[in-house]
Amino acid sequence: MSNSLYGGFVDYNTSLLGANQPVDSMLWPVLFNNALHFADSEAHVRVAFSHATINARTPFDTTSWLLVETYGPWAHRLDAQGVPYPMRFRIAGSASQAAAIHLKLRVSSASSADRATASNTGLVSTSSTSAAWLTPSSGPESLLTFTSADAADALTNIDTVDGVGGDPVGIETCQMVATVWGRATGSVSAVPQLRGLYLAEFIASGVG
Amino acid sequence: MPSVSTRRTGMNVADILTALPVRGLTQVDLVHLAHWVLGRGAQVVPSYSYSTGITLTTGGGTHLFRFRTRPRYQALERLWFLDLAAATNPATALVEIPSGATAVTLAGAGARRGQMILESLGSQSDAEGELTVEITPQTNSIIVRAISAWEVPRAALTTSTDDDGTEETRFNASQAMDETDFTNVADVLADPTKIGRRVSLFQWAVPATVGGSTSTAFALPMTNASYTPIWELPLPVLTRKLGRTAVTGTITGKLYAWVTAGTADIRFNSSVNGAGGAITINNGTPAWTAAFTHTVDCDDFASADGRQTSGAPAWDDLDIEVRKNGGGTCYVASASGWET
Repeated sequence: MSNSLYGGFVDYNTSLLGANQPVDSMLWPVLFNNALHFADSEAHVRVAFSHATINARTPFDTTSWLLVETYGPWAHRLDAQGVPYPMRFRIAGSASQAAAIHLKLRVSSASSADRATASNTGLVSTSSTSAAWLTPSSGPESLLTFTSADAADALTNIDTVDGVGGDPVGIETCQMVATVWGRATGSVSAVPQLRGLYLAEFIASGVG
Repeated sequence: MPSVSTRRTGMNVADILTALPVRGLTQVDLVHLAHWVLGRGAQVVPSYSYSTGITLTTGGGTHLFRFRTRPRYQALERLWFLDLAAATNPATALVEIPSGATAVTLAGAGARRGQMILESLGSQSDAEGELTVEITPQTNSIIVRAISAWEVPRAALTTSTDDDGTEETRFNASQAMDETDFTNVADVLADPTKIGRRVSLFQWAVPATVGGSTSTAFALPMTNASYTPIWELPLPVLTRKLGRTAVTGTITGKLYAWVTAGTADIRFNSSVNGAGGAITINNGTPAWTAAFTHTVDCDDFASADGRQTSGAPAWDDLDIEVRKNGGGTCYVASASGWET
């Protein structure tokens, strides 16, 4: 859902804002609209690749989720309530042999990334040995959502500078990571293979 | 001070819809929101893996990875995360970011967790340019499993006309305000090339320069006389939405590529918007191509996950295609896509 007034960028003539020029009162809604729209659009692609064949760690069995790969961390965007914005995702995968496998994506704080069965997960399944982008088991919509507890777990203070070669200053970041986990459901010889991953924030879906 | 908040700041739209004077505090909300967009940093290299990992051997010397984008002016530092594994334990690697910087020793950790390197920028710029990572394996071969980088968020912006911060204390109640206080936020909100760009829709690179010499060990060889995707699967892509009725945006791409003979044509091909215009290369040594652009789907804020909803929601899958003309091979070592 768009949080801006007009649902899109509205252009205006900045040359009319020179010295001693009156500001049209109707410019304010445009300024607010544009700020809100740029904020709604401020979503970054955090993971994007295909053309990979990353196998789940072996040996593994049919009951345990085992780590395939970790991506990130990145500095996740927080809404006005301090909740991490949702992420849209897509997972490509295959099985090393023609038997059912699952791949599970989880986005969390780095400190809790070693757990495969918590919330914020996307699940796909296949028994094909050919690489393909897979439809999530949750349905056609591909969105991970978070709570303020996720942010509390992920908030990290780091140092940066206040200018090029400047003095150190501290900032707060919400550092999230993506972990992909694999599990076979039938034959233990069918190794889950991650073949591609797309993960990006979706700002407009959150609280403005 | 033009501060940058960790959280998005709220604004009460009702405050500016009544034709009454806009309160100073409402104007501060506007400035804070612009600072949040400008100052929280962009992902310059979305995390990527390739093949079964890129195995760098000790005998090869330096391995140079090249990325390309138009970064945000506000960036002062970048944090890089490299996921390195040991082909044989123990293994370490010297890593320079950018190439030529002081080398940092990283372990082939085997824990598959990114190791961090801070890149401090010597100057601020939003000019398109190259980002480099040079990796030299030491004791044993190193497998590069993933690389990513993001711009470190700012604590505060400056009021320079490039950094685009606005002094919010000027908008407090009963404070005089002149046009210079107002200029930065008004200018930047009128220019989509200065605010809110997705500086990387994808980045992919393997070394084309190994031990200081051109290498075909890692680059993708393209020989087909018909357009052929460089990757096994296309990549999902969504740009930001600009105009109110926009359903598409524009992606700009460049490859780091070369040909051994003849020429090669390179283009984008979108699953929703068809094939784009091609560029042709004939360089015999590795170089960045000219830019090629294409129309792809943009965000749809009315849909649950941002995909366009005209018809059934579908991903816009983007291929980069190469057609080889006149024999020989076209080698592709880097592929970058961003919004300008």
